[in-house]
Amino acid sequence: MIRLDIFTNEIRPDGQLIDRLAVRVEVTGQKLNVTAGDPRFLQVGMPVYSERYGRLIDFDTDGEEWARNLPSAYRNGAVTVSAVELLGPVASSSGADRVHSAPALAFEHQPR
Amino acid sequence: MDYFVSGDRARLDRIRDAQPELAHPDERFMLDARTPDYKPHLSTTAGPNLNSVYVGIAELNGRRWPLFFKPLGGIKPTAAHDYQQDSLVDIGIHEVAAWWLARELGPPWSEIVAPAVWRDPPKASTIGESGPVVLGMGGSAHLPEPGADFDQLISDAAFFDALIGSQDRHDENLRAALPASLGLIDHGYSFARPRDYHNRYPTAGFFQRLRYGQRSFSPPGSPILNYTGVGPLSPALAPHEQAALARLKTDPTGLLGIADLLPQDRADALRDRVQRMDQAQEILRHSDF
Repeated sequence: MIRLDIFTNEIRPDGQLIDRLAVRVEVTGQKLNVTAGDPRFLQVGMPVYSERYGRLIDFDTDGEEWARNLPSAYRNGAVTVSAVELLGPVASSSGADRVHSAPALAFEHQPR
Repeated sequence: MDYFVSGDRARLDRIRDAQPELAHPDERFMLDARTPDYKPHLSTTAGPNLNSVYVGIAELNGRRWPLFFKPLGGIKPTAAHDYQQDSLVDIGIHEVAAWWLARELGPPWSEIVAPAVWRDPPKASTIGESGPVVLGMGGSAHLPEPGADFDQLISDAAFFDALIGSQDRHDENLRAALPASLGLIDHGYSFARPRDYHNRYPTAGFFQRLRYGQRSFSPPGSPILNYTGVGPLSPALAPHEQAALARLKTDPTGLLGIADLLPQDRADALRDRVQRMDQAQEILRHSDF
Protein backbone atom coordinates (compact mmCIF):
# COMPACT_ATOMS: atom_id res chain seq x y z
CA MET A 1 0.00 0.00 0.00
CA ILE A 2 1.20 3.47 -0.86
CA ARG A 3 0.02 6.50 1.03
CA LEU A 4 0.15 9.77 -0.87
CA ASP A 5 0.11 13.11 0.87
CA ILE A 6 -0.32 15.95 -1.59
CA PHE A 7 0.46 19.40 -0.28
CA THR A 8 -0.18 22.73 -1.90
CA ASN A 9 1.08 26.04 -0.70
CA GLU A 10 -0.24 29.52 -0.87
CA ILE A 11 1.71 32.73 -1.04
CA ARG A 12 -0.39 35.46 0.49
CA PRO A 13 -0.21 39.12 -0.53
CA ASP A 14 2.03 39.87 2.47
CA GLY A 15 4.52 37.20 1.34
CA GLN A 16 3.49 34.62 3.89
CA LEU A 17 3.97 31.08 2.59
CA ILE A 18 1.61 28.48 3.96
CA ASP A 19 1.77 24.77 3.18
CA ARG A 20 -1.28 22.65 3.73
CA LEU A 21 -2.36 19.10 3.09
CA ALA A 22 -4.60 19.18 0.02
CA VAL A 23 -5.49 15.49 -0.16
CA ARG A 24 -4.40 12.19 1.36
CA VAL A 25 -4.85 8.98 -0.58
CA GLU A 26 -4.11 5.30 -0.04
CA VAL A 27 -3.44 3.15 -3.08
CA THR A 28 -3.63 -0.62 -2.76
CA GLY A 29 -3.18 -2.44 -6.03
CA GLN A 30 -5.60 -0.71 -8.37
CA LYS A 31 -7.78 0.55 -5.52
CA LEU A 32 -7.59 4.18 -4.56
CA ASN A 33 -9.09 5.55 -1.38
CA VAL A 34 -9.20 9.25 -0.58
CA THR A 35 -8.91 9.44 3.20
CA ALA A 36 -8.69 13.20 3.66
CA GLY A 37 -8.92 16.44 1.77
CA ASP A 38 -10.15 17.42 -1.66
CA PRO A 39 -9.83 14.83 -4.47
CA ARG A 40 -9.65 17.72 -6.93
CA PHE A 41 -5.93 17.88 -6.15
CA LEU A 42 -5.31 14.25 -7.07
CA GLN A 43 -4.21 13.97 -10.69
CA VAL A 44 -4.75 10.27 -11.32
CA GLY A 45 -4.06 10.54 -15.03
CA MET A 46 -0.76 12.34 -14.57
CA PRO A 47 1.95 10.36 -16.36
CA VAL A 48 4.98 9.57 -14.20
CA TYR A 49 8.22 7.91 -15.07
CA SER A 50 8.75 4.44 -13.65
CA GLU A 51 12.20 2.89 -13.57
CA ARG A 52 10.54 -0.48 -13.27
CA TYR A 53 8.64 -0.02 -16.53
CA GLY A 54 11.29 2.13 -18.16
CA ARG A 55 8.69 4.58 -19.42
CA LEU A 56 5.94 6.96 -18.45
CA ILE A 57 2.99 5.19 -16.83
CA ASP A 58 -0.31 6.27 -15.34
CA PHE A 59 -2.58 4.85 -12.66
CA ASP A 60 -4.21 2.39 -15.05
CA THR A 61 -0.85 0.87 -15.87
CA ASP A 62 -0.03 -0.01 -12.28
CA GLY A 63 -1.68 1.89 -9.46
CA GLU A 64 0.90 1.33 -6.75
CA GLU A 65 3.86 1.90 -9.03
CA TRP A 66 2.24 5.09 -10.29
CA ALA A 67 1.67 6.29 -6.74
CA ARG A 68 5.20 5.36 -5.73
CA ASN A 69 6.59 7.62 -8.46
CA LEU A 70 4.01 10.41 -8.47
CA PRO A 71 6.27 12.79 -6.51
CA SER A 72 8.64 12.92 -9.46
CA ALA A 73 5.94 14.66 -11.52
CA TYR A 74 6.00 17.79 -9.36
CA ARG A 75 8.87 20.19 -9.29
CA ASN A 76 7.09 23.50 -9.47
CA GLY A 77 7.30 24.68 -5.88
CA ALA A 78 3.52 24.94 -5.68
CA VAL A 79 2.67 21.27 -5.19
CA THR A 80 4.64 18.72 -3.21
CA VAL A 81 3.87 15.05 -2.93
CA SER A 82 5.02 12.53 -0.38
CA ALA A 83 4.71 8.81 -1.12
CA VAL A 84 5.11 6.44 1.78
CA GLU A 85 5.12 2.68 1.41
CA LEU A 86 3.03 1.04 4.09
CA LEU A 87 3.02 -2.62 4.96
CA GLY A 88 -0.37 -4.31 5.18
CA PRO A 89 -1.70 -5.09 8.66
CA VAL A 90 -0.98 -8.84 8.32
CA ALA A 91 2.63 -8.33 7.39
CA SER A 92 3.22 -5.84 10.17
CA SER A 93 4.32 -7.47 13.39
CA SER A 94 5.31 -4.40 15.34
CA GLY A 95 2.32 -2.26 14.67
CA ALA A 96 4.66 0.38 13.35
CA ASP A 97 3.83 -0.07 9.72
CA ARG A 98 5.66 2.83 8.14
CA VAL A 99 8.76 1.55 6.40
CA HIS A 100 9.91 4.83 5.00
CA SER A 101 9.57 8.14 6.67
CA ALA A 102 8.80 11.25 4.75
CA PRO A 103 9.91 14.56 6.17
CA ALA A 104 7.37 16.80 7.75
CA LEU A 105 6.12 19.01 5.00
CA ALA A 106 3.54 21.17 6.65
CA PHE A 107 5.05 24.36 7.94
CA GLU A 108 4.60 28.04 7.73
CA HIS A 109 6.98 30.78 6.83
CA GLN A 110 5.90 33.80 8.76
CA PRO A 111 7.23 37.25 8.10
CA ARG A 112 8.81 38.65 11.16
CA MET B 1 27.18 12.41 -14.04
CA ASP B 2 28.18 14.85 -16.74
CA TYR B 3 25.53 17.52 -16.96
CA PHE B 4 27.05 19.28 -19.91
CA VAL B 5 25.92 18.42 -23.38
CA SER B 6 27.10 20.31 -26.41
CA GLY B 7 26.86 24.04 -25.83
CA ASP B 8 24.90 24.14 -22.62
CA ARG B 9 27.82 25.44 -20.60
CA ALA B 10 28.20 28.35 -23.03
CA ARG B 11 24.47 29.07 -22.79
CA LEU B 12 24.63 29.02 -19.03
CA ASP B 13 27.66 31.31 -18.99
CA ARG B 14 25.68 33.89 -20.97
CA ILE B 15 23.21 34.05 -18.10
CA ARG B 16 25.97 34.16 -15.50
CA ASP B 17 27.75 36.96 -17.38
CA ALA B 18 24.57 39.00 -17.80
CA GLN B 19 23.31 38.80 -14.24
CA PRO B 20 25.46 41.55 -12.71
CA GLU B 21 23.90 44.03 -15.15
CA LEU B 22 20.28 42.94 -14.90
CA ALA B 23 18.04 45.82 -13.91
CA HIS B 24 14.55 44.46 -13.30
CA PRO B 25 13.58 45.00 -9.64
CA ASP B 26 12.64 41.34 -9.14
CA GLU B 27 15.94 40.19 -10.62
CA ARG B 28 17.89 42.57 -8.42
CA PHE B 29 15.88 41.43 -5.41
CA MET B 30 16.73 37.79 -6.06
CA LEU B 31 20.38 38.51 -6.87
CA ASP B 32 21.13 41.10 -4.20
CA ALA B 33 19.21 39.81 -1.20
CA ARG B 34 21.29 37.89 1.29
CA THR B 35 21.03 34.21 0.40
CA PRO B 36 17.94 32.93 2.16
CA ASP B 37 18.12 29.98 4.48
CA TYR B 38 16.78 27.56 1.88
CA LYS B 39 14.91 24.63 3.35
CA PRO B 40 13.82 21.49 1.54
CA HIS B 41 10.43 21.62 -0.03
CA LEU B 42 10.51 18.08 -1.19
CA SER B 43 8.39 15.79 -3.20
CA THR B 44 9.35 12.51 -1.63
CA THR B 45 9.08 9.10 -3.18
CA ALA B 46 8.92 5.81 -1.36
CA GLY B 47 12.45 5.37 -2.66
CA PRO B 48 15.19 7.98 -2.76
CA ASN B 49 14.12 11.59 -2.54
CA LEU B 50 13.42 13.18 -5.86
CA ASN B 51 12.66 16.52 -7.39
CA SER B 52 13.94 18.60 -4.54
CA VAL B 53 12.86 22.19 -4.50
CA TYR B 54 14.06 24.49 -1.76
CA VAL B 55 12.22 27.48 -0.40
CA GLY B 56 13.60 30.46 1.44
CA ILE B 57 12.42 33.90 2.41
CA ALA B 58 14.60 36.61 0.90
CA GLU B 59 14.81 40.04 2.43
CA LEU B 60 16.14 43.23 0.89
CA ASN B 61 15.37 46.84 1.66
CA GLY B 62 12.23 45.96 3.59
CA ARG B 63 10.89 43.53 1.04
CA ARG B 64 10.41 39.95 2.24
CA TRP B 65 9.26 37.36 -0.24
CA PRO B 66 9.57 33.58 -0.86
CA LEU B 67 12.06 32.28 -3.41
CA PHE B 68 12.20 28.76 -4.78
CA PHE B 69 15.60 27.26 -5.57
CA LYS B 70 15.58 24.31 -7.96
CA PRO B 71 19.01 22.65 -8.07
CA LEU B 72 19.55 20.59 -11.20
CA GLY B 73 20.37 17.52 -9.15
CA GLY B 74 16.69 17.26 -8.27
CA ILE B 75 15.70 16.53 -11.85
CA LYS B 76 15.10 12.90 -12.73
CA PRO B 77 17.01 12.47 -16.03
CA THR B 78 14.97 9.51 -17.21
CA ALA B 79 11.71 11.41 -16.77
CA ALA B 80 13.19 14.45 -18.51
CA HIS B 81 14.29 12.22 -21.37
CA ASP B 82 10.68 11.31 -22.06
CA TYR B 83 10.06 15.01 -22.70
CA GLN B 84 13.07 15.02 -25.06
CA GLN B 85 14.81 17.26 -22.53
CA ASP B 86 18.20 15.59 -22.31
CA SER B 87 20.25 18.48 -20.96
CA LEU B 88 19.55 19.09 -17.30
CA VAL B 89 21.34 22.42 -17.60
CA ASP B 90 19.02 23.48 -20.41
CA ILE B 91 16.00 22.51 -18.31
CA GLY B 92 17.24 24.96 -15.70
CA ILE B 93 18.08 27.56 -18.30
CA HIS B 94 14.54 27.35 -19.69
CA GLU B 95 13.20 28.79 -16.43
CA VAL B 96 15.39 31.84 -16.95
CA ALA B 97 14.84 32.01 -20.72
CA ALA B 98 11.05 32.02 -20.28
CA TRP B 99 11.37 34.90 -17.86
CA TRP B 100 13.80 36.83 -20.09
CA LEU B 101 11.36 36.48 -22.98
CA ALA B 102 8.49 37.74 -20.82
CA ARG B 103 10.62 40.57 -19.49
CA GLU B 104 11.60 41.66 -23.01
CA LEU B 105 8.02 41.51 -24.25
CA GLY B 106 6.86 43.54 -21.26
CA PRO B 107 3.36 43.67 -19.82
CA PRO B 108 1.19 41.69 -19.57
CA TRP B 109 3.66 38.79 -19.79
CA SER B 110 6.31 40.31 -17.57
CA GLU B 111 3.63 40.51 -14.89
CA ILE B 112 2.45 36.90 -15.02
CA VAL B 113 5.61 34.90 -15.75
CA ALA B 114 7.68 33.99 -12.72
CA PRO B 115 10.97 35.93 -12.70
CA ALA B 116 13.99 33.64 -12.51
CA VAL B 117 17.74 34.01 -12.09
CA TRP B 118 20.59 31.51 -11.96
CA ARG B 119 22.27 30.51 -8.72
CA ASP B 120 25.61 28.83 -8.19
CA PRO B 121 25.90 28.17 -4.46
CA PRO B 122 29.33 29.34 -3.24
CA LYS B 123 30.45 25.89 -2.17
CA ALA B 124 28.88 23.94 -5.01
CA SER B 125 31.13 21.16 -6.21
CA THR B 126 28.98 19.95 -9.12
CA ILE B 127 26.57 21.61 -11.50
CA GLY B 128 23.84 19.52 -9.88
CA GLU B 129 23.99 21.84 -6.89
CA SER B 130 23.29 24.87 -9.09
CA GLY B 131 20.01 25.83 -10.67
CA PRO B 132 17.40 28.51 -11.17
CA VAL B 133 15.94 30.59 -8.39
CA VAL B 134 12.34 31.52 -9.08
CA LEU B 135 10.36 34.29 -7.44
CA GLY B 136 7.30 33.00 -5.60
CA MET B 137 4.12 34.04 -7.36
CA GLY B 138 1.09 34.87 -5.28
CA GLY B 139 -1.80 32.49 -4.78
CA SER B 140 -1.86 28.72 -5.01
CA ALA B 141 -1.80 25.95 -7.59
CA HIS B 142 -5.41 26.10 -8.62
CA LEU B 143 -7.31 28.37 -10.96
CA PRO B 144 -10.49 29.23 -9.03
CA GLU B 145 -13.61 27.81 -10.64
CA PRO B 146 -15.64 28.81 -12.58
CA GLY B 147 -12.95 31.20 -13.75
CA ALA B 148 -14.89 34.46 -13.98
CA ASP B 149 -12.65 37.53 -14.24
CA PHE B 150 -9.72 35.46 -15.51
CA ASP B 151 -10.49 35.90 -19.24
CA GLN B 152 -7.68 38.28 -20.08
CA LEU B 153 -5.15 36.50 -17.89
CA ILE B 154 -6.01 33.16 -19.52
CA SER B 155 -5.65 34.69 -22.98
CA ASP B 156 -2.28 36.18 -22.12
CA ALA B 157 -1.08 32.92 -20.60
CA ALA B 158 -2.22 30.95 -23.64
CA PHE B 159 -0.28 33.20 -25.98
CA PHE B 160 2.85 32.84 -23.88
CA ASP B 161 2.57 29.06 -23.61
CA ALA B 162 2.07 28.81 -27.36
CA LEU B 163 5.09 31.02 -27.92
CA ILE B 164 7.48 29.13 -25.64
CA GLY B 165 6.26 25.69 -26.70
CA SER B 166 5.19 24.64 -23.22
CA GLN B 167 5.05 20.88 -22.76
CA ASP B 168 3.63 20.70 -19.26
CA ARG B 169 1.13 23.44 -18.40
CA HIS B 170 -1.49 21.46 -16.52
CA ASP B 171 -4.08 22.83 -14.12
CA GLU B 172 -1.72 22.76 -11.14
CA ASN B 173 1.28 24.22 -12.93
CA LEU B 174 0.28 27.75 -12.14
CA ARG B 175 -0.51 30.04 -9.27
CA ALA B 176 -3.74 31.94 -9.04
CA ALA B 177 -5.79 33.86 -6.54
CA LEU B 178 -8.86 36.02 -6.20
CA PRO B 179 -9.23 38.90 -6.96
CA ALA B 180 -8.05 37.52 -10.26
CA SER B 181 -4.30 37.16 -10.44
CA LEU B 182 -2.25 34.58 -12.26
CA GLY B 183 1.33 33.39 -12.19
CA LEU B 184 3.01 31.11 -14.71
CA ILE B 185 5.59 28.82 -13.11
CA ASP B 186 7.73 25.83 -13.96
CA HIS B 187 9.12 26.33 -17.45
CA GLY B 188 11.75 23.59 -17.49
CA TYR B 189 9.81 21.53 -20.00
CA SER B 190 9.34 24.21 -22.63
CA PHE B 191 10.97 25.55 -25.77
CA ALA B 192 9.95 22.28 -27.34
CA ARG B 193 10.67 21.31 -30.92
CA PRO B 194 8.22 19.97 -33.49
CA ARG B 195 6.91 16.54 -32.50
CA ASP B 196 8.40 16.67 -29.00
CA TYR B 197 6.34 15.04 -26.28
CA HIS B 198 3.49 16.98 -24.67
CA ASN B 199 2.13 15.87 -21.32
CA ARG B 200 -0.94 13.79 -22.13
CA TYR B 201 -2.77 14.62 -18.90
CA PRO B 202 -6.23 15.93 -19.86
CA THR B 203 -5.60 19.42 -18.51
CA ALA B 204 -2.12 19.82 -20.00
CA GLY B 205 -2.15 22.70 -22.46
CA PHE B 206 -4.58 24.23 -20.01
CA PHE B 207 -4.66 27.86 -21.10
CA GLN B 208 -4.41 27.10 -24.80
CA ARG B 209 -7.34 24.69 -24.48
CA LEU B 210 -9.34 27.34 -22.64
CA ARG B 211 -8.58 29.93 -25.26
CA TYR B 212 -9.68 27.50 -27.97
CA GLY B 213 -13.02 27.10 -26.21
CA GLN B 214 -12.72 24.17 -23.83
CA ARG B 215 -14.48 24.91 -20.55
CA SER B 216 -14.79 21.53 -18.90
CA PHE B 217 -12.01 19.14 -18.01
CA SER B 218 -12.53 15.56 -16.89
CA PRO B 219 -9.33 14.23 -15.38
CA PRO B 220 -9.68 10.52 -14.62
CA GLY B 221 -10.59 9.84 -11.01
CA SER B 222 -11.04 13.51 -10.19
CA PRO B 223 -14.02 15.84 -10.09
CA ILE B 224 -14.85 17.61 -13.33
CA LEU B 225 -13.21 21.01 -13.53
CA ASN B 226 -15.76 23.58 -14.57
CA TYR B 227 -14.63 26.84 -16.10
CA THR B 228 -17.93 27.96 -17.58
CA GLY B 229 -17.43 31.33 -15.92
CA VAL B 230 -14.72 32.11 -18.45
CA GLY B 231 -16.17 34.25 -21.19
CA PRO B 232 -15.83 33.58 -24.89
CA LEU B 233 -12.21 33.69 -25.94
CA SER B 234 -10.71 33.60 -29.39
CA PRO B 235 -7.47 32.13 -30.62
CA ALA B 236 -7.20 35.15 -32.93
CA LEU B 237 -4.30 37.39 -32.02
CA ALA B 238 -5.04 40.54 -30.09
CA PRO B 239 -3.23 43.77 -31.04
CA HIS B 240 -0.74 43.48 -28.17
CA GLU B 241 0.09 39.93 -29.28
CA GLN B 242 0.58 41.06 -32.86
CA ALA B 243 2.92 43.72 -31.54
CA ALA B 244 4.87 41.16 -29.51
CA LEU B 245 5.36 38.95 -32.55
CA ALA B 246 6.35 41.99 -34.61
CA ARG B 247 9.05 42.80 -32.05
CA LEU B 248 10.40 39.26 -32.24
CA LYS B 249 10.35 39.41 -36.02
CA THR B 250 12.49 42.54 -35.97
CA ASP B 251 15.23 40.46 -34.33
CA PRO B 252 15.03 37.08 -36.06
CA THR B 253 18.59 36.18 -35.19
CA GLY B 254 18.73 37.13 -31.55
CA LEU B 255 15.03 36.82 -30.65
CA LEU B 256 15.46 39.64 -28.12
CA GLY B 257 18.38 37.86 -26.51
CA ILE B 258 16.61 34.54 -26.07
CA ALA B 259 18.20 32.70 -29.00
CA ASP B 260 21.59 32.74 -27.27
CA LEU B 261 20.10 30.84 -24.34
CA LEU B 262 18.72 28.02 -26.45
CA PRO B 263 20.23 25.23 -28.54
CA GLN B 264 19.98 25.94 -32.25
CA ASP B 265 17.07 23.56 -32.85
CA ARG B 266 15.01 25.01 -29.98
CA ALA B 267 15.72 28.57 -31.15
CA ASP B 268 14.69 27.56 -34.66
CA ALA B 269 11.45 26.12 -33.30
CA LEU B 270 10.75 29.38 -31.47
CA ARG B 271 11.36 31.36 -34.66
CA ASP B 272 9.04 29.02 -36.51
CA ARG B 273 6.28 29.46 -33.92
CA VAL B 274 6.61 33.23 -34.19
CA GLN B 275 6.35 32.97 -37.97
CA ARG B 276 3.39 30.59 -37.95
CA MET B 277 1.38 32.54 -35.39
CA ASP B 278 2.03 35.76 -37.26
CA GLN B 279 1.01 34.16 -40.51
CA ALA B 280 -2.16 32.54 -39.15
CA GLN B 281 -2.95 35.46 -36.84
CA GLU B 282 -3.86 32.89 -34.23
CA ILE B 283 -2.11 31.29 -31.29
CA LEU B 284 -1.01 27.70 -31.77
CA ARG B 285 -2.83 24.84 -30.13
CA HIS B 286 -1.18 22.93 -27.32
CA SER B 287 1.42 20.40 -28.53
CA ASP B 288 1.81 22.27 -31.81
CA PHE B 289 5.47 23.06 -31.37
